[in-house]
Amino acid sequence: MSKCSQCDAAISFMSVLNTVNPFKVKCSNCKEAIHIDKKSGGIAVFIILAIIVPLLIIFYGSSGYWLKVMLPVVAAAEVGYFLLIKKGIVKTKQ
Amino acid sequence: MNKLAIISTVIICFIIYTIIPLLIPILFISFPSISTANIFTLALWGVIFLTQLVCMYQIINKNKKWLHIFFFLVFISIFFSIADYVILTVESSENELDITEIINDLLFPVFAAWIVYFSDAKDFFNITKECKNE
Repeated sequence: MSKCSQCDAAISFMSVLNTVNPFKVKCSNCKEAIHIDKKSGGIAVFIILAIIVPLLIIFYGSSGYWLKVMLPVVAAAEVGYFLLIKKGIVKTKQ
Repeated sequence: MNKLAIISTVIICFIIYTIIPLLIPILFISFPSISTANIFTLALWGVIFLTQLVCMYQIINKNKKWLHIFFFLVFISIFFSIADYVILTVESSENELDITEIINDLLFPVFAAWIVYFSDAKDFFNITKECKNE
């Protein structure tokens, strides 16, 4: 499990959800920046984008696009990235 | 990264909710029959356009007060858009009012507001934190 190097707190889902940079997550406990390993993080981000971007393009223009397509797809991508960090597949820099 | 997130969000909102609604009356006003509604819409969006330009300049200069004004004007635009949809649907007896369409219209601006107010990008307005991160 990936933890904050400063306070040893586990990385929370809200930390991952709130970040605008997928390679830098802010610890929800001590507010210190947790740097994500560029190699494993980069591969994870690439795979997630490779899945979600075609989905968003295919369904673009369908009725209720934002509610029925964009919201679930982006939420699933965020949950997926969080689980990859939590399981330690995407590593954090110590 | 925070600066990029804030500026891109603001610019996208400006294009979708101000530039496009402003262009529609401009295109229709060129026709010979100019309606009062078109002139009113043009004047309203003209004022919103100019105010938002000032807001964007102030937002780039990390003045958070102007962000509230900017999003207030964005939500005015959305309010008019939703009101338009509701009135047209109620007037025509064929179509039923679809709440999911209204939620669908609201999702993007709410998402944009969440980015600038609640995500880590809000540190852009906190000068000390931003300097620390850099």
